[in-house]
Amino acid sequence: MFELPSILLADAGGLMNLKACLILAGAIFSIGAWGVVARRNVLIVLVSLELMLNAVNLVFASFARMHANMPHAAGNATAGEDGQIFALFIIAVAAAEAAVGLAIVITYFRNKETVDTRDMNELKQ
Amino acid sequence: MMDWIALHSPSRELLESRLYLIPLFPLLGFLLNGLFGRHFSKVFAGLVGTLAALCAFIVALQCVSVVPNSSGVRDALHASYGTWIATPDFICSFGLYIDKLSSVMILVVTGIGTLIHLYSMGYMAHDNSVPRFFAYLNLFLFAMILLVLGDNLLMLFVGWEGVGLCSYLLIGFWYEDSKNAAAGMKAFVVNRIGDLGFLMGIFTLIALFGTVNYVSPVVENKDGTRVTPRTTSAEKKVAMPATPGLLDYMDAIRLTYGKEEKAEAEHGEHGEPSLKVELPDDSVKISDIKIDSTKTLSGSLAAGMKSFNTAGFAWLITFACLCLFIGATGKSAQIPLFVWLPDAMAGPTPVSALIHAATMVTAGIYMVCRLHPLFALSETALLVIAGVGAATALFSALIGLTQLDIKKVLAYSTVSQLGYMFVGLGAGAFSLGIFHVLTHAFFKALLFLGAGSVIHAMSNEQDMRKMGGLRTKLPWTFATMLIGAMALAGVPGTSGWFSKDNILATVLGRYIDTHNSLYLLYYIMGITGALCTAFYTFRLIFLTFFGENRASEEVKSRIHESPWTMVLPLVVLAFFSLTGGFLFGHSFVEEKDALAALDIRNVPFHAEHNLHSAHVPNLILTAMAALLGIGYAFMRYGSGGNVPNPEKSTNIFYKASLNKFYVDEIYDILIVFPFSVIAELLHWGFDMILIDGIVCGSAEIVRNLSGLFKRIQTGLMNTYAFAILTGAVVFLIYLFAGVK
Repeated sequence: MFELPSILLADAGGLMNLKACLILAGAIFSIGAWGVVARRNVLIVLVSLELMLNAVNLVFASFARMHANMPHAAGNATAGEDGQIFALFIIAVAAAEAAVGLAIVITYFRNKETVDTRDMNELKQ
Repeated sequence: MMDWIALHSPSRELLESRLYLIPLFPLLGFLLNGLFGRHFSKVFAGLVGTLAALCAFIVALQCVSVVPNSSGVRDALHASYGTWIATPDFICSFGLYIDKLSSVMILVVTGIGTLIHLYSMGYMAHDNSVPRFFAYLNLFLFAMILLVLGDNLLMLFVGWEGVGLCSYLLIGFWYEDSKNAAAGMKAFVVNRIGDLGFLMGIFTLIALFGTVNYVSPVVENKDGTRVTPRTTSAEKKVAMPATPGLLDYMDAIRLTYGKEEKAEAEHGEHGEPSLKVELPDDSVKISDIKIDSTKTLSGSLAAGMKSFNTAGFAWLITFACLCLFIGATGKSAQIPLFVWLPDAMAGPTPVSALIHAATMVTAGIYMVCRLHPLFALSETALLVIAGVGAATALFSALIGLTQLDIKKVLAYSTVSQLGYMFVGLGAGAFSLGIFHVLTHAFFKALLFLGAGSVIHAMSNEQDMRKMGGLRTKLPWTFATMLIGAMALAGVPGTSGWFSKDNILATVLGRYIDTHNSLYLLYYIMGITGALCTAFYTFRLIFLTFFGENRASEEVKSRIHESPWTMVLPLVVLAFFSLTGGFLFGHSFVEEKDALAALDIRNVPFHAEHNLHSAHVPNLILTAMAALLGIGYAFMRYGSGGNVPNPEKSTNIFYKASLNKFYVDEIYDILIVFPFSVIAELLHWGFDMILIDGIVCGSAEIVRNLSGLFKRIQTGLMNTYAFAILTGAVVFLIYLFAGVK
């Protein structure tokens, strides 16, 4: 694939970098989850969803990197590709989801003049 | 005419294939008028109904013409359309069956039915729902034809219920008046009581014989020839058909035990009865179910036969007969279930003539005659039937003496005449019972239609106190009704005299035969009833047609003779009322072969023995009764001035008779009131508390539980998202815990 700057490939910090990446991803995911559960604005909820998706992307990318750097993968040009392709998929799906979600929100707003999730309970009855 | 038809009629196979047309025409008429009636004009709806009846009559006439002329054992038309119900223990076929008995009934039903349809076109001309009326009438004809032509008891029962339904619908035809609707309901409920007995009778017969068919269904052999059921050979052995019907069993029992009875009477000793019934060996295929005839059918027969000598079997036969007779008391309005028939006069008059005089109410008599070999086995049942008949004949004749409503008089007279029919049946003169059905159908339909014509002319006035002097204004109605009244009163020479006189002669003959004083009692009751009949009939004639007209001026100005559609049936019926005895009598009362004429085979006893010695005194007595009654009626009402005035009368008997001996009130106190109290108790105690408690309680439990859980559904997506998240976390923890 393409070459990364060498500082990122430093062998000594390899696992440390992975750990940092996972912690970061966990934090982003948690923020996103909190946003989905706690926030009332649908737009914020959608943004929070994006956060969660991207946190997952980060995890995929990090593990892909780890796999590529494994000793037994030396010389294997395709090692770690799976995770990257997954991440690309998720980006595409997230784009579609954002488009559909925003369209729904806009239509809903036009009809009901609100984006508050507390008002969106008409299916309850 | 019958000979000409017989000469030109097609073969019996062709006729059998046409049998289904008889019920089909009225059914089509019912469907046409019932479904599309609202688009029909009154005349067209009437034409559809009348033509349907007429077509059925023509087909029936053609079919019937073959029945008495064919020689040989099997002289009935029988069309099987398959097996209705078939289990190893119980068979019920599905087919139509015309023998001599049902041929009389079918001609009465369709023939008089056609006349009354024609009459209705005139009578109902001013009504607003003519198509509905004719739809009901045609449905009634259809059900009645099923009742008469069905080849098993279950089909009879289906028709029985069908005519009951139509009776209900037609009594309450003018349902806007709640009194009419109530009368219809009363008829329906009272009939239900009888039907329960009838059903129990059928069940008993099924338990005893495992079949409800009258005769074996038509079975075709492989080479195309038919199995001939009921072949009686010279040695008095019965070759039982593969699937015997009730009458086949009766034949077997009678031939085996009839001899035995004679032997017992001669030698006075009980011998082990020998079973002289030949059963086929091979199994017979009915439909797709294989029935091993040697095992089940002969088994049940043999079992029944074996216990026949014991009291149990005879008792069961008596029980079955009495149950069936309870059904007959309901439909044929006998004591104690006669109370619905007078109320049934709330319906339109043609309905009273067709259903509540000529046809439906004779269904009970038909049923007893149809199963007469069964009833003949039980002396007790016959005594009960004759007793109930005699009591009804006298009792309702007494009520008829004082009624003021012209239709009520005729209604009680119908109840009374039905009583005479049952007296005939109970005396063993089954063919005479059917003869009286025939003549009664003529003259009572005539009287009802005449009364309808009077009511029509009097602007729906039914009270005889407001009539009188109609002789000159309604000449046709007067002349025909006079003939009908003579027949009802039993003036010698008229059709009614022929049948009633013969029935009473048979009862007297039975008394001379058996010296059972009960028969003498029945005879005296019958003669007294005949005296009353003659009186109230001519009281009706004198009050209606003689003297001054007592109607209001407005009504008087509108009195008119009825249109030809109404007069024509009157004339036809009057002709038969006058001459029916001469025309048809010989088929029913022929000295030697009286019972065989109706395909009613001999019963264990012979009523003809002493008929001769009974005939002359009976003839004198009945003629005297008729003339005395008419004479007394002329003395009291002939001048026309003596109008009954119930308010002025202080005679206790008069008051009791006018109030129908308070039968309705007694029933109210004895039956209706306790029943409503029990019903009310059950309603509150059982239904409201127990049943409703269980039902509503279980619903309440579910409702409360769901109230608990329904809070989970907030409708807020945040909550759902939280639930998903929590679920995912819990799942992950579980997963990692498992891994550990």
